[in-house]
Amino acid sequence: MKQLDSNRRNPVKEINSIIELAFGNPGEAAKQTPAEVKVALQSFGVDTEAGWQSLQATIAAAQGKASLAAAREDRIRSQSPAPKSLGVVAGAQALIDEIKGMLSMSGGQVAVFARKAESMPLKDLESLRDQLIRTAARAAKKPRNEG
Amino acid sequence: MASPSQEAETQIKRVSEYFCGPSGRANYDQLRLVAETMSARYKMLSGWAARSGEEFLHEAINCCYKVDGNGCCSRRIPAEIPVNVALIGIMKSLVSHAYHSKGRRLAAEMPSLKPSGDSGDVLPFEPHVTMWSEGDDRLTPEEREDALSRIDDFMAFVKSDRVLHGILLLVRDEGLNKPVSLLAQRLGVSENEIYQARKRLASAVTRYIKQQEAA
Repeated sequence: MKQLDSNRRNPVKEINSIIELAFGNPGEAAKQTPAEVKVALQSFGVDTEAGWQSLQATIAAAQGKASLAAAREDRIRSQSPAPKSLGVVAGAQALIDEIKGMLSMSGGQVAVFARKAESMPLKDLESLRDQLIRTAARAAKKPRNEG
Repeated sequence: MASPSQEAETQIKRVSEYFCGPSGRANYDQLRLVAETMSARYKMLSGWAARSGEEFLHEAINCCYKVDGNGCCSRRIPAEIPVNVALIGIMKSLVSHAYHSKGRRLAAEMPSLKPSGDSGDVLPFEPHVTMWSEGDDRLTPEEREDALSRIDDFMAFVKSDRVLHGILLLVRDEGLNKPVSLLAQRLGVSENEIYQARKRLASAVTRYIKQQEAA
């Protein structure tokens, strides 16, 4: 076999040819049928299962981020405030009732409180409840003025 | 994270649907094969630096999902370009960057991205077209020496396999890698033996790459 002068050898072409002979070329790989792809991947000693699972997680995260950001954007666009009504927040009504009981309010006061409470953020309501509990605890410790 | 623009949202949806539909897994495997083939070339050219096809593919997908401060995806896929074609183009770019980052110049011809959209002609790779010519010498003499020594090393690795070694000699000395009938004629063996040797070549390259990476 004729050996070409080493200065004229083309290492890149040789490497490409070896890889192409062994595995095909990327262009052809993109056109292969699923069965052919499976066989070719085996020749690389590659198992795609772990990569596939990891991709599913990536997709779920990307879709989640996109939908969250889109919802935030929609809210800003429509200039509607974030939902404040406690009527839609699970557990809020029970919290309001608990506070009403603590305050021993009259009928009129209860109505005023309830109206205010419905426009309060849940965390403020929780904070109010905690404050009332602390006040009640302090009052219980304080000795009564017997005079 | 900046809110994605309408275009970015559409792109994220397109890419997700490509992998989540009924043929999602097959699509993934096909792109993975393209990625592995690119990765193998990259490893051969860059001195066996370890970057798997999976890394290239997942990085390309992440580029399509990543939203910048302006709400645009860091890699935009025009609506007229199919997702697989775009991902292959991005992978090609990543391979090229990886090669550059090693202070080398990429001289491997990777399939180009065409906006025609037809899967039949998206990757026009003609094996007969010269991938390199003497007037297009993009490797320094040192890089050529490096690549040549790797080829010689690999050929020594498969020397015990007479048919396979013969095929590689034809590739190296005469640039002849097809048709099979011609290879069989030149080596004085049957075409079937050539096909069998090609299969052995795939595993030999994989073994050699792993051996080099481990060294």
